[in-house]
Amino acid sequence: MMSSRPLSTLGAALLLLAAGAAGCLFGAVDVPAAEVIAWLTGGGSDPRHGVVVLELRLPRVVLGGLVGASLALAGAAMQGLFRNPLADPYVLGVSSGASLGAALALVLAVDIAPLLDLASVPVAAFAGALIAAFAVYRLARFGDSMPLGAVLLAGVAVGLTLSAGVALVLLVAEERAGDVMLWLMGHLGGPTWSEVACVALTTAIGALVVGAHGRELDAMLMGEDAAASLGVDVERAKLRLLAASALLVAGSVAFCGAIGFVGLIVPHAARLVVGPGHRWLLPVSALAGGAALLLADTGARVAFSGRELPVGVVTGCLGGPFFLVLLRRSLGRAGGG
Amino acid sequence: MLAAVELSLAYGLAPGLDLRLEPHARVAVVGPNGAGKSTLLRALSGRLRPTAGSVELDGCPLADLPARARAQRIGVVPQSAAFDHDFTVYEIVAMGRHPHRRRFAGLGRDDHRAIEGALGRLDLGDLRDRSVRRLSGGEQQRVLVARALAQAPGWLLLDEPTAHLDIAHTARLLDILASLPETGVVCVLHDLNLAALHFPRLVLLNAGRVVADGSPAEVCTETRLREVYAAKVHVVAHPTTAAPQVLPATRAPR
Repeated sequence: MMSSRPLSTLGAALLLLAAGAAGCLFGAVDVPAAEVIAWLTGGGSDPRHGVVVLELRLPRVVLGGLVGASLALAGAAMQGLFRNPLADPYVLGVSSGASLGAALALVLAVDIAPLLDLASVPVAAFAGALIAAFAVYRLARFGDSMPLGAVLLAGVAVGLTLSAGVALVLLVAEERAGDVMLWLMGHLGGPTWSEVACVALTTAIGALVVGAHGRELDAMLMGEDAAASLGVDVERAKLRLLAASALLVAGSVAFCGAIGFVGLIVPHAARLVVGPGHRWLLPVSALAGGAALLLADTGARVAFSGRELPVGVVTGCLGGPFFLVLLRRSLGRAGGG
Repeated sequence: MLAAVELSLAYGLAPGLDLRLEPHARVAVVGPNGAGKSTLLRALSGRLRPTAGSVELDGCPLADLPARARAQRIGVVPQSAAFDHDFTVYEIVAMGRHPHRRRFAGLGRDDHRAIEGALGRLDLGDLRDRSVRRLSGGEQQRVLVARALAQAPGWLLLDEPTAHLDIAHTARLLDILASLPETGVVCVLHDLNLAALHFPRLVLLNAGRVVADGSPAEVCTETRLREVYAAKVHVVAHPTTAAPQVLPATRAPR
């Protein structure tokens, strides 16, 4: 078992590379594989192919890898933090918080200062995600316990409230509603490199903070009292992990909208392979999360030739049923409660 | 030394509790249901903040110690494990090394020695790669004790560690607790006979107050127990150790 974990990590890394390669190779326009490789490694022959590969597909692939990793890490952190296998930034309303913040910034920034767009949207998304994460946490907690049902209901309630806020913003800002709507569904299309760099920054910071708390997350799975007796400063660790999760979600939502269920499914799959310990679970989740989102996005681009499906629709279609299966299993284990 | 000094809590104990535990002391905390045994243990572990007074470890208030420093010196064994995940026995015991490891640091030589020592002492060597979820209640309890021992603490605090154990496992666990020369042991037990048999000192709590503190023979007198437990009892001598053993009286005809 021990020696298979590095192998699994390597496998996840290879999967991510393969998914990235697929994302560069396939798309609405047919570009021969040799051309794609030529452009990626220095220079091909047809400049139109160069634009497709280097300016459309490559930034999208890098963005997809970063966002998938961010969402999976946030999901893994929240599942540990809430001691709840159903925790996920989308299910718990954190994505809705980020969406509301980002939507407000998107609509307002046009009138105030277009140049601030790049910074204002993620910052507002971060603020929204933070508020949602802490609200759910406070609402779901009773003394030292966080019942499974309470966490989910608090997440749903917070999520619905914030989504209503997003709808309100859409109504008020009618002329931009189309843009915002598409973005809300979750899509990876057409990022600029500066946007990709911005997501790279939030992913790096979030991954560093979450990764630094792997042992704390392990201990917190035993309950807060046990974690405290093992030397974990529980309140401080939770604060940092909630903030890091919110940052990871905010970076993703600000540029790609709310993409559901990646944060739910990927850590589960990773746990089946490498076990519950976060030392391996976190890196494998991050790598597999990037791969999963890239595969979903490439599928969404290729499936209906000519017409692109928002990737959030794909992950939603796959993730919804998965969530229901997990819910049934968790409730069964909790004795029907 | 671990000491409660004029300790007052928000609930559970009568205000102004004093209790001094010398280094390497082995003490059983006994008393009726709801006497405040677990609350006292949680206070001694630093998990409950005093509203007045303090819990002091070698003269330093526990509230002033960071969680890490506290965990290096006090290990806690909870009443039962919340093992919902497929960690192996080894992984759980290795968690006891958390307060001794730096962030991102792997397991060093001291860590391995402490983990192996704890596994060996609790006889868990053969189970090391098993998932803790697949263990019996008694085995899980031993894993929890091993995890706390891996912390290499000066004090071990246990809350009803024998609650889920049969008579043989109970005796074995309490013998292990008696064989830790470098460690002070504070153990909450509701079974007076086990306490009297395995611990040289008993602290008897009632309604949040220390009503007796001393050797089993000093604490377990028929009049005092009748008063505290509101039940008529007989105290007899254990056949081999002569420790006082408490038998309930009955009015039922033979």
